[in-house]
This record gives sequence, C-alpha cells and structure tokens, in this order.
Amino acid sequence: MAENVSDEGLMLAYRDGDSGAFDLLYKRHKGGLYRYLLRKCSDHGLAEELFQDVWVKLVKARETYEIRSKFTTWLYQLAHNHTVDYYRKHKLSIVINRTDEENIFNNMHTRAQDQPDVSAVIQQQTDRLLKLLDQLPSEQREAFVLREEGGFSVDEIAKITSVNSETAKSRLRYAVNKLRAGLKDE
Amino acid sequence: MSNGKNDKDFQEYLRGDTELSRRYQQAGKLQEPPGYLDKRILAAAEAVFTKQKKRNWYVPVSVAAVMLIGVSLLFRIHEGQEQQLFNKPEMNGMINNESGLGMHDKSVQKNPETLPAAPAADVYHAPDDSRNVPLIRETPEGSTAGKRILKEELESLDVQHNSGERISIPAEKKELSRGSSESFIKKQDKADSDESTGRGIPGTGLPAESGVQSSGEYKLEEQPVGSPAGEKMFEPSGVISTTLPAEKWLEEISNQWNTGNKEEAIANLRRFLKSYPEYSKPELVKRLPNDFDLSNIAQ
Repeated sequence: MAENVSDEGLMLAYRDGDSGAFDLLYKRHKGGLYRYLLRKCSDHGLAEELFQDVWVKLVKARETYEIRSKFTTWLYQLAHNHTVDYYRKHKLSIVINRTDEENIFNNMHTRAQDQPDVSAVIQQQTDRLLKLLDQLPSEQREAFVLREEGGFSVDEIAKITSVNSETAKSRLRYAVNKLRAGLKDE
Repeated sequence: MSNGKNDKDFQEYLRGDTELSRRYQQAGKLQEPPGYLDKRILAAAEAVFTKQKKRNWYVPVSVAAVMLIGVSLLFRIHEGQEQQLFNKPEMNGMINNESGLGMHDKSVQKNPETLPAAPAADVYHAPDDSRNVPLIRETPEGSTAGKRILKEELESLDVQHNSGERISIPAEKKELSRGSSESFIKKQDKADSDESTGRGIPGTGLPAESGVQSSGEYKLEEQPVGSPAGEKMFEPSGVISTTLPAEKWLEEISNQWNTGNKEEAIANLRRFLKSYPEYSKPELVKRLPNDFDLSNIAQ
C-alpha cells in the first residue's frame, strides 16, 4: 500500500479486506490520538484503555464506513464521544475542568528559572508548556490539542466536540492566549 | 488595545508556524502509545479478516457437501424403489402389459415360462365374445397382468368358444393324460352326452360335473392345489384320489368297472380298502356292481 494514499482511501481499503491499510492508518494517527486522549483525561492508564477502545470501535465500524467527512474528523469524533460516554458511565469528572487563572500564573512563576544549557532550556520550556496545558480548562485544552495534534480547523473542532464554531473558536482563542502568556512570563 | 493584540496573535496562530506550536510538537513527540497496545490493536484488526476468511471457506464447502449427499441419497432411494417395483410379481406382469416399462418386454416374451404365476387376478374375459363371460371369480387385487397371463394360458389351450367343440391340449398335458386316455375319452363322451341332454357345457365338451355351473358361464371353481376335483381333472393314470369320500370313491370305482377298466377298478378298490379298512363288506357289495369280483381283492 502506497504511503501517499489518503486516510479515506486507506480506510476504504481496510473495509474491503486489506489489513495492511489499517497498519498504515494506525501508524499515521496513533501518536496524535494517544496524546489527545492523554491530555483529555490526564491519566496514562485510562488513556491507554480509551485508546484501545477507540481503535476497536473503528475496526467494528469499518463495514459501514463511508466517506462523509475527513477520516481524522471521524476518528477524533469517535474518540471524543467515547471519552464522554466513559465519563458518564463511570460518573467521573475530568480532573482539571476548571483552572484558576491565577493558579496558572503562579505555577509559571515558580517554574521560571534560568538554564545555562540550551537543550536543557528547551526541555524546561516543553515541560512548562505541558504544565500550562494541564492547567487549562478541559474544553480549551481539548480545542488546543485538536488543533495541534489533528491540524483541525475551527469548524472541524466544532464538529468533533459537538459545539458551534463560535464556541470552538472562543475556546481555542482562550487556550492560545493563556499559553502564550504563560510562556512569555518564563 | 489588549484584545486587539490578542486577536492578532490568535489569527497568527491559526495561520500556523508559531512558537507555541513548535514547542508543543517538541513536547508531544515524546509521548507515544506503549508497544503492547500497538500489537494488540493490530492483531485485533487482522483477526476480523482471518475469521471472515475461515467462514468464507467453510460455508460453500459445507453447502456443496450437503447437496452432494442429498442428491446421492435421492438417487439411491429412487433406485431402491425401482428395484422393489420390479421385484413385485404383479409388476413383472406389468412389464408385459401396455402400461410402460417396455424395456423388459422382449426378454419376457421370449421366455414366457419365466412368467410368474398370476396371483393378483384370476379372471379372463374372453375377447370378441358376445357373452364375455368371466371364467373365474375376480379377486379384489386383480390386475390386467394376471388377466394377460391367464389369457395366454387359455389361448394355448385353443378354447373355441363359439364354434369349436373340441379342446386342443398342449403337448405336455397330452403327455400327462396319455396314461388315462381311455378314461378321459370316455369321460368326454359322457360329457358330450350330458351336453346333448343339456347338462354339459355347450361347445366345450366338458361335463357339467367338472365344475361348470350353468350353460352360460365357464366357471372353474377356485380350489386349492391337490383338491379332489383338481386331481380328478388331471389324474393321468386313472388313480382315484384317496381324499374322496368313501361313497364317491366307490361310485368312481363302479364307473371304472362298468366302462371296462376292470384292472384299474380293482387297483382302486385295493387303495380304497387301505384307506378305509373298517368299511363294512355288506355295504361295499351293495355299492359296487353286481358282477364285481371281490374275490380278486383278497389277493
């Protein structure tokens, strides 16, 4: 199977019995989907469980698959819905669903330290970003992660998260501004 | 002012290639799903098709096998039924009939003696006979096969119903009756005389006492093999059946004596006395002709 085949083409090939197409799809999207779930639930064990469930759902849904939208939109929508269902079923709430803005800035200040080594500085900045990300409200964090991991537009983010475009745009804007502000304050 | 700057930054972010995105991508690359999850998911995705492939192979092969067995069973059953049909005696007769299965016709016609007895029907309706009188009572399970066999047998006897007054006997039966030809001829003469007096069968020369009940009906009474009348009809040597009642037997012996068959009469009387040793001699003398020499019997 050629590497330049679109996701939708690979999914159709898998539906028609080409298991090699699934391998390619999985390689393309496993990292992004895993990180999306990890950021969403902030728990490695739970993220792995949800990750496996989503791919199994995709395997089961292959027989009815039709190209109605981008494959990645469909995949992340599947993941989003499954996560919401999981939380509803187990009566859980996402750990960080509200973040005090002051808290973020306090954490940023405590982390801000001068580093002599450049790579060490980068590593520190990365850790800082992830820390800032964890402290974002879950909806804003999800919008940002969808943008970064899937490369989705505002409209696609709105579709995946089942909200209107303005809400999705607002969430993304807040997320970006907070993260920038946090990184600037290092 | 601050909001305007934020909007500008956000639009810049949406256009891509910002510092924020680069930093996130650097951090994100470090986090990948564990290897065991990869194996498990890929195996699950492939297992779906392995199951399907197995099922795809299994279904048509089993359907074909069932059909093969079914068809062969049907053929077997059909052959078995045909065999049973041919093994049935009436069906053997049917083969000879017009009702089909004509593939055996020639062989059967070439060897008419291989035809089995006709158990199903004992009736013969004489063709082209205005009287069309049944010879023998019809049995419920009568079939045309049995009629045909009887017809062939009777045709070999050349019974001439309308004009012929004689019966031509097949060679075997002639041979059998040669020993008692004289008594047979005399019986026939007697029957002829009966016929002239209205007691015999018209046109056959058969006496009325030999089973014929009326002039319009050739009726051979159904009798078991070996019955007195049957033996009497085809007795080749003039020996009277030992199963006759004593009076009837003595009457036959008297007839033999009177018609000149004295040796046969004496022989039959000896057999009679063996069968009825306690029969009273006065009664015996009374029933036999006066000139019957009983002194020979003692020898």
